[in-house]
Amino acid sequence: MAKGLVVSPDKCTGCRTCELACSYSKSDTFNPKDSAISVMFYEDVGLQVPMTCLQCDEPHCVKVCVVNALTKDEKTGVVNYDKEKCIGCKMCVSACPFGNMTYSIRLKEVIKCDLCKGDPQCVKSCNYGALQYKELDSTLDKRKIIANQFKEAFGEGAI
Amino acid sequence: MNGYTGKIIRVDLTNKIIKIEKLNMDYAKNYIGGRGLGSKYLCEEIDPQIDALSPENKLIFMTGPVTGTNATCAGRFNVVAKAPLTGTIGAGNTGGYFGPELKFAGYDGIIFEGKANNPVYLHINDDLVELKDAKHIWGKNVFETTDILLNENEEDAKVACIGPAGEKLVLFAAVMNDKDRAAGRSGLGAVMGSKNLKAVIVKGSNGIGVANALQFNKAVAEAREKVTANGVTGTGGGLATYGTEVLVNILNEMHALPTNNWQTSRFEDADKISGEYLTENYLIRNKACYACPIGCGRTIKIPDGKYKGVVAGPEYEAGWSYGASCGINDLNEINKANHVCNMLGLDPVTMGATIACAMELYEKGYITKEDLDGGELKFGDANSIMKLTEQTGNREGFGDKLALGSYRLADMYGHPELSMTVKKQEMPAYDGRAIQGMGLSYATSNRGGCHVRGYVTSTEVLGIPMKTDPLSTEGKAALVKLFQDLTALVDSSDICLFTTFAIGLPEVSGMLRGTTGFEYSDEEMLLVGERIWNLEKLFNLQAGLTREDDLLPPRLLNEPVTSGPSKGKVTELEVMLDEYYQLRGWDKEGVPTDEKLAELSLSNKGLAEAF
Amino acid sequence: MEVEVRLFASFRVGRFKYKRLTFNDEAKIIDILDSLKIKKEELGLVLVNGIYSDTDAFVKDNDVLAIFPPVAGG
Repeated sequence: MAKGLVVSPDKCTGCRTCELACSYSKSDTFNPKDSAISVMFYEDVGLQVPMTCLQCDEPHCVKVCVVNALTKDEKTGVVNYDKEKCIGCKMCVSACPFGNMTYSIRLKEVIKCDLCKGDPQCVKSCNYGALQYKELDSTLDKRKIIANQFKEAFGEGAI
Repeated sequence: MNGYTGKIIRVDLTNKIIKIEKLNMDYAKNYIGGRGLGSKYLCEEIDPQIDALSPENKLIFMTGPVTGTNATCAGRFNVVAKAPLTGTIGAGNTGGYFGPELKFAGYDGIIFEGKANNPVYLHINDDLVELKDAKHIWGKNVFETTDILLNENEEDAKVACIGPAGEKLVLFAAVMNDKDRAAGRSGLGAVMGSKNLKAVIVKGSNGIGVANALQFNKAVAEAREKVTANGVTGTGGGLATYGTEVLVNILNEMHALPTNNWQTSRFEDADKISGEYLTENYLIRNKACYACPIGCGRTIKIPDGKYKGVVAGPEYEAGWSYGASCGINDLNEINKANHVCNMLGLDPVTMGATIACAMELYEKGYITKEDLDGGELKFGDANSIMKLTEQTGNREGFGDKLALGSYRLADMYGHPELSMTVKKQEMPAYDGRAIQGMGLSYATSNRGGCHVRGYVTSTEVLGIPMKTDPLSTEGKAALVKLFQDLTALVDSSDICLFTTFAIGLPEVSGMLRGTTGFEYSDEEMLLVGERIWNLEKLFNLQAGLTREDDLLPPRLLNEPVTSGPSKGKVTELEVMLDEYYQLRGWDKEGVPTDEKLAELSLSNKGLAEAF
Repeated sequence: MEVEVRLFASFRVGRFKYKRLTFNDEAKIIDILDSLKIKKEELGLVLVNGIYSDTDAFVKDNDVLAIFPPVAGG
């Protein structure tokens, strides 16, 4: 069974250590611009929502990639990115329905979560348990990842 | 890289000239960053005797080498200037997101000098650094200003600004960032206002690297482990669950919670203004500053009135200043008043304590109804605090007098002894008679009445890292000195002081060594802290302060505590102060000896020669 | 003897805020903590009549005990 990232925005404090941990593990520098995970803040309800690649089962990014730089690993569930094959066309950035693919002009590569080969650094850095890496027992759990974000993002629970 | 970006922005506001200059690495090696490095630049560049609100003063924003990394609670920066409230050197340490963003843009700090002839703001986006007209945001509050600037620049940028209080030179106006974080004390916001500088907005896209990754990773992992496993700072710990206001009940049970302008030390309704009460009734969720695993910040709801909505909750000191200090038990009104401070850009500690002083002046008949336009000002009256705070921030009505702080207010009515201040700045929420070490800490603080220059409450009250007897003066001079030096180092690195409930000098030094590559021993790191403390002291001496200013209000020295275990006690300052000066290597008048200055590679003369 | 016990912060959860409780005359603080099912390692500090006390101290009739988990602030 594939493990996945489960996001609980209600637990997020907005410390953004996940962004730092992600960029540091990928580029040896601390730079939120190079992070595959970003935290959005909804001030009117005081809510922080971490957003990152959901490792889709039917990944649009993979479908539009003409050079096979993006591939879905059926065993782990991860959508992997191969920088060597990438031609920088940025089609994947447009294709992702969630805006979870970004392109770094500076690094000339796609910034995308690969779950750190099964040891996600963002999860390790999250003290409040807003990010968890666990077995996804059913499709319901996967839906929950997005459902939670939508539910919270549209601001119930404040007043 | 070594944590530093190696660049400083210098903004000549008078001539509207912006220069990017190299960070002075000699300064950095000796003063690290943040409060220390900012103070070094200030001491080198201004005459301590100038008027703090004149164009000759400089306003410095300074990050530390760890700012923007994932070191524990490393999301901070310091604002440094000569302070108008105290006439001392002023440095305010603030969290949020602004400090790291400045580093990501490629700068360790900004030095503002002179005065613009019209309101301006500074816009930074990596290499683009420009002054822009701020006419349209002058007069706007902190929240409006931030939203307008984000709307007309990069929407994910970070903003530091002043509110109307800073523009109108309220002597305890704060520099605010990310809306509700503050370099709060001593009136740094008024310095910003005096320069016609409304805001700084910054966006960055560069990374920050460290000198020795292996050493850094190990040090951060160790520090993180200690912070997250600790009963206070850890997951589900006291700070995370209840916020800083959890202290209310402890200090109250000790009879060390100053009440009704320090006339008594126990507040009957303390539980109603406590962290427990806030959590139960108003807390929505925790909010953390950048890179902070603790998350003591409170996101709370205001359920009614014109500020109905979701806002930042008060910290312990603000909850106390409006609460016990004013005899007020209505936390909802305190939350609103605290929010008004954030919007108008005011220091809530001095604001609440100044209202408390005015209440005593009214109670004793020195302030009359006429002074208050026919109104009343009584201890316990929650209805007055929000309105008085609004009036102060806008300098309207009686608020125009409150805007001077309690010392100048009480002096105006002929009773300066009723102002609970040190160096004209209000002491916060720990009674120095019931906690002798805090008495000495207040008296010797280089920025006047303040708890975070030497937070010996940690040992005196909480037993962290060991317990000391708060009623004894023995050993307090050494304790205060150690806390002051260590805090100066922590403020300069620039990590959050709250980490030190869980970690100490070895962990702080370890993270600094890994980041900077400076091969200092722990002792040498502490010496940096002592050097900073002495530099600040030299500034104050040259500004004209003397031993007479290392003094507590008469109430703490002459009026004993009226109840509890410290009943009958006053602060035994003189004996502690003599010992403190001696331990510091200062003479009887509190002037550092030549030997001490040589040991710290400092020169009193050198400082004077710079101007 | 009767002792007033005041609990704070997380110690209130599932217990109470303030209560007068009866203990035998030889009771120490640690015995009172035991009766409240508060483990020593969960304890921050105990104030007896406002004074910081060790857990093996004896308690007197009418003492006020204020019991806190590890907390701090500032």
